[in-house]
Amino acid sequence: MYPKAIWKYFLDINFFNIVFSLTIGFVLDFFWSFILFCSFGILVGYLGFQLFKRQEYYTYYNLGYTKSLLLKKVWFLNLFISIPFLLIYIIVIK
Amino acid sequence: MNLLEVNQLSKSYRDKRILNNINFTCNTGEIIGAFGRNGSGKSTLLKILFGTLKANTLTIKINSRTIPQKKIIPSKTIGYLPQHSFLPKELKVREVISLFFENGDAQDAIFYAPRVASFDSKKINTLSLGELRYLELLLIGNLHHSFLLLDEPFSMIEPLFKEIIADFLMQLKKTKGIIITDHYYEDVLKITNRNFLIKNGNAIHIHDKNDLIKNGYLNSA
Repeated sequence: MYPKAIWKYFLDINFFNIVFSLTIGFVLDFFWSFILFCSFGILVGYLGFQLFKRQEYYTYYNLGYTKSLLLKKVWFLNLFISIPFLLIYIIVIK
Repeated sequence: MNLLEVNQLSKSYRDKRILNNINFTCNTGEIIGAFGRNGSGKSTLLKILFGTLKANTLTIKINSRTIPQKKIIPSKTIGYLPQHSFLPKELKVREVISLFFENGDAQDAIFYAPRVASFDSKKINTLSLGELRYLELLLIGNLHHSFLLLDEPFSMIEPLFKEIIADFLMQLKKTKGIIITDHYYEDVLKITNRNFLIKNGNAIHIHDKNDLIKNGYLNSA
């Protein structure tokens, strides 16, 4: 396990993801930000990483992580983060 | 002692055959040089062996056990130094070292390597080409892969770093098998045990500079 490397990938992917999810949240409703953060936003994050940081994948490959394994980890972590925040949002705001 | 066996490696792009039935082996303790003109398929060969580019046909065995291409990265048996820099540019050298190595002793192996102390507090995007290439090689070389694929480790490197890199590779080959491609053929020929030239998709065995001339990789003058 390389937790610092996973954390770095998680932050890099979610930088693009958060910008996208918050933008949609401002336009529609922040409910959608939470939904997007753990779904379509990850795809946007992946495309952003692919566009600006693609070469850095070789760091992860050499540590034994494939793209699909990295994305599964990010998806799982985002789901883990989104669900409680979404519930709080629904209970407090709605 | 580990053995990498590569058999029937072929790769085509549309109608063009880049690599045609390449076969070779690499043992622990060996450095194998792969030469070829630009576009001959050297980098393609390494990417295929690392599993990031799909071959048309290929059988890879490690210690007589067949390993599918998609399992090469998760198996952590083969490391790869790509031609272009791959380290996160916004991080400092010491932060990058801790990305690759959690353990203090493993980190110290990098920090106390020759010349690293002179640039370990710099950011990656401020390193010279020689410092960056050397750091990348140290990081990949100190991971626990049995085999290493190095794409142009000597390119554009100042002579002092070339010597350090050559010494490091000679140390590494005690525990790993190494396949190296580079146009700096003199630096490569100094450290390799065996060599081949990729020409028209085929691998031709090379013994020395004269063979490179004979096969049209170098001019005779």
